[in-house]
Amino acid sequence: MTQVRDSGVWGTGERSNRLTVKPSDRRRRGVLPAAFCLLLSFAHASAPTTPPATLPPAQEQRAVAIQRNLRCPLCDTGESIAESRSDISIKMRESVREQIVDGRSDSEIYTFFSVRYGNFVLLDPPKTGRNLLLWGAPLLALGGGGVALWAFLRRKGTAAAPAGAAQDAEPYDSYLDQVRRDTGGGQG
Amino acid sequence: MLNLISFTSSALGSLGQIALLGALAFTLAGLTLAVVGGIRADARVVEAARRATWAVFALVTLGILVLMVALLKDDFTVRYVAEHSMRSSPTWIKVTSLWGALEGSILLWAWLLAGFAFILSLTLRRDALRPWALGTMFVSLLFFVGLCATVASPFTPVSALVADGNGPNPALQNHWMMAVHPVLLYLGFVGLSVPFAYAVAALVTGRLSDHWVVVTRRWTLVAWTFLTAAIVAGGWWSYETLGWGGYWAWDPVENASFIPWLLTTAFLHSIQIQEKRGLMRSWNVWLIVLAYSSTVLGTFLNRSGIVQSVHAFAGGPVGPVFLGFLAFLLIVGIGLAAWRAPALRDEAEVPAPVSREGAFLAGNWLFLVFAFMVLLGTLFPTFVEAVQGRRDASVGPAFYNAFAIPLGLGLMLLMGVGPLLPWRRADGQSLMRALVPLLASGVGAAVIAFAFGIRAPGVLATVALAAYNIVGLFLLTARAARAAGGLGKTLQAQPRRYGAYTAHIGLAVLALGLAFSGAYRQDAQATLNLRAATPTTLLREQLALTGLRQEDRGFGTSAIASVSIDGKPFEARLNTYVQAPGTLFPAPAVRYGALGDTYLVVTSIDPKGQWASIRLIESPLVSWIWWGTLIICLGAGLTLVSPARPQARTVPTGLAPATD
Amino acid sequence: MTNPAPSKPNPTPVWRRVLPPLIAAALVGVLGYTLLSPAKNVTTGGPLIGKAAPAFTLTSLDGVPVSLEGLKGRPVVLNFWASWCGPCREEAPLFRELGSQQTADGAAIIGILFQETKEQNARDFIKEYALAYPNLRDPGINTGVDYGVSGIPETVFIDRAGVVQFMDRGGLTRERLNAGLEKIGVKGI
Repeated sequence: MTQVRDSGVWGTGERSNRLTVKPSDRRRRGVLPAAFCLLLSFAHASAPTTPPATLPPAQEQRAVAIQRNLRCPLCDTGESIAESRSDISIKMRESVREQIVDGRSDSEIYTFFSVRYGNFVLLDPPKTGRNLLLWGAPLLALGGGGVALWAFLRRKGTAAAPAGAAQDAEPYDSYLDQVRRDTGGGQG
Repeated sequence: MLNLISFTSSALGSLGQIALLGALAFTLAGLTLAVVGGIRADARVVEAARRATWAVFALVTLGILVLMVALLKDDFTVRYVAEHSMRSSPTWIKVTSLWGALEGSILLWAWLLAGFAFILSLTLRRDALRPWALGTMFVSLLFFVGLCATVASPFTPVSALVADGNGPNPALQNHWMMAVHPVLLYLGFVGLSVPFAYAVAALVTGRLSDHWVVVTRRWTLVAWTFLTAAIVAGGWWSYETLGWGGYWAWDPVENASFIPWLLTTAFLHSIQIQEKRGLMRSWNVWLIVLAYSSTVLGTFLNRSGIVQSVHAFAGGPVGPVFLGFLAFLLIVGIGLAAWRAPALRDEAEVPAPVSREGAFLAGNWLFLVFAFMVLLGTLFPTFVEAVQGRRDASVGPAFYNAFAIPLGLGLMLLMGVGPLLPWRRADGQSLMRALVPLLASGVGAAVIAFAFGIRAPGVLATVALAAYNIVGLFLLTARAARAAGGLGKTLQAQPRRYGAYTAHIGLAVLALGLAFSGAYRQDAQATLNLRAATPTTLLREQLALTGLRQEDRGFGTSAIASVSIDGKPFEARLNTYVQAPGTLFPAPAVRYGALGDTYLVVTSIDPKGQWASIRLIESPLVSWIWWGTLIICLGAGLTLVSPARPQARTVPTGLAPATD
Repeated sequence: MTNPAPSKPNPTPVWRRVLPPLIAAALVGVLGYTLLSPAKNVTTGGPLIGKAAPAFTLTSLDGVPVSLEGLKGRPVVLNFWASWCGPCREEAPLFRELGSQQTADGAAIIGILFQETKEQNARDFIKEYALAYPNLRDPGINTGVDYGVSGIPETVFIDRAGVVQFMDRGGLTRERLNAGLEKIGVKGI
């Protein structure tokens, strides 16, 4: 049962009416974007819904895991349907459970929602297609960084410039020269 | 042209506006003077630039005082007050409204920046770096002061006088932490502008000194401490008000503050290599440039609304202005670093892989990959949007956790090894000897945890690594105490080292809190009836609804559900505020415990006062996160308070000291 | 220390000096493009475009079953709405106007209730705006989920072959309605 309806309405481009732009506030759960038509909470709170049919623990765990990885399609906050209190999230949670009972696999359930709401709802981006860039780049950075680090630590001796030569190796700079003279020969 | 001043409509508003415009003029003058002084190497001109910071600081202070007075006096002729404050707010809310909305927060930012520039002007040495460090501060100031004096001015005239203001953002009112968290965060972000100024000065002049190392390290450490406190304070705010029992959601806003933290942490370690060995000079400058750029990038992402919702900030002038500053900073800053950093050459020999330096560098590697991963995850949806023309991707916790957990564990592993290793080169055998008790205690702790029924591999690894770290630091301290003839003596002799150890212990405590609360959080929902004959059992606790009441607080109302959990009273609230009727802000009731918190949030209350739907969350060791952070900050403070007088330099004979 | 040594060990290659600023510039470029380009397809488009419209059989408020299958061969305008939604009210007169212009083989207009709280409110809404087309109950929002509806109003334009050609989110204006109608070969209003 929800009390706050996360924008049940597509704002007509007036989301800038949001209360503020403070950094941390953009995450507020359940604040509506300038919606003229939220259901006023107390008037709407009818009897609580019946508890959902219980699933066996293993399936229940799967359901929760999937729900955590599906984004609430209308909340600005980026929260998952597991956390969201909007009606559509409640409906999607039910749908996940129904599909698990129907024996669908995790990926079938994710596909079910992505063909309807777009890849936007997938909080755990599948490791295919363009998402390989997302998943691969940190691994590449890890590998590349490791190689660079190893190469640097192994570079022994080759780059060890004689003391004092370092500073002089930079390109000639008239200003620098001037400063050095002013400040007494480069003693910082 | 913007209409900036109207003397007839508001006396305070015009005073504030004049102060800010004056500050802008002094900033421009100071920047010019600093650059001219730098190029001509004219000490008198540089001195004039130095004194310009005083004028800027004084005028921005005047501006912020004017705004504060206007807020406290409910002077609705000042636009910011009319838009973001109201009469019925309590005084502390009026004070915090100063940074509760865009214009005020930019003004606070500018004020802190001017304050840091002022302190810098007092501490800068009379050397070649001075004009360029000042000039860099003036560039940052130019942006922030310019922003709050023009397009984001809180003082521009109001179109019509109002009897009462629109009121502050309700989320600000919902928890006092929201008053503290932004200030800490700005102190952290702004604090990084000083090391950045030193880094730019080093790049422009091609010179580094001992003084440079000491000063940048201290400033960065101050900023880092504030940043650490700010990030965790934000998490605590989230825990206390958002009602989902979590504290970190890998939200772009959170990530934006975390990336600079990662880069700064890397810097704080690698700067020690420069300090002790004269190595990694250009690398350190790079890290500072990147850390400061990442703060501006993060601020841009939040202020422009580009990350979460494309239309959150449509048409606002601040987004493009921030973009301009970001572009300038990234391209010029990174360009300068790329062009000039190679000039900052190292003098000493490259360290052996197994050495203190090696451990620090490996840590740097992981920190950088971590920062890159977070940045990529944050920006990936934006990249997709740029290519596809619509938002068609989301990156959620699943992605971040997949990398953050192994990277975090790797960092903990290095964190334990680092202090054991000597500088330059470690002897393999003695290292193994030193490592054996640590590894044994780690394995032992994991076995004990396993015996207590812990099966999650990440949690077991965290337990093992925490034990290994704490035992290692304890052994090192004990040995040093024995050698120095008492714990007090070694603490006095090496406060900086023990500050670092303390921070590491705090981090181990924090990691345990994260691991346990992340893996073993339990969550259940139920609807409680006021006249229920028997209590409801949820998560092995007996819950009974004992009362429902409504409280009028003037600026809003609270619906309060009193629930007894195992006989202990809890009062969870649902707050509404007059500024946002119909929007409910939960205020969970949390009972903090050393081993776990009990967290109760009301999700809905029957208008007829018969029932309440609640959510009960039990999460273990959450409070360890807050205590761990406190220990970290104390440790960081310990490294600062003591005079960072270098002991006998460990630079071997035959090599030049780490100065130019 | 200031004797200028001519030796220059390993001068940094140019690419290493140029690459970082280029990466930074590219990043700024992407951010700037996303920030400044007017958000495209924010109100239109979606994963269903070009795909067969999901089938449904629902009962209207008058108790008449309506299925998409039964409308095959006609273009269909599907409007998800609720009485509590303001933009739905604003666009309702457009649908009445559109409905009054259609002949028997013209576009079929179907309303589907989305999260309607009180059926009586919906009936009052229909009476107020004199809507003559069927409005269907969607218990459990199953059809809503099938069409990827997350907020209302949302209007789906389905062509004669039963393929989704256009979707519009947010309150329709005359122009936006006509843009959708054009995609399914129906004369605009």
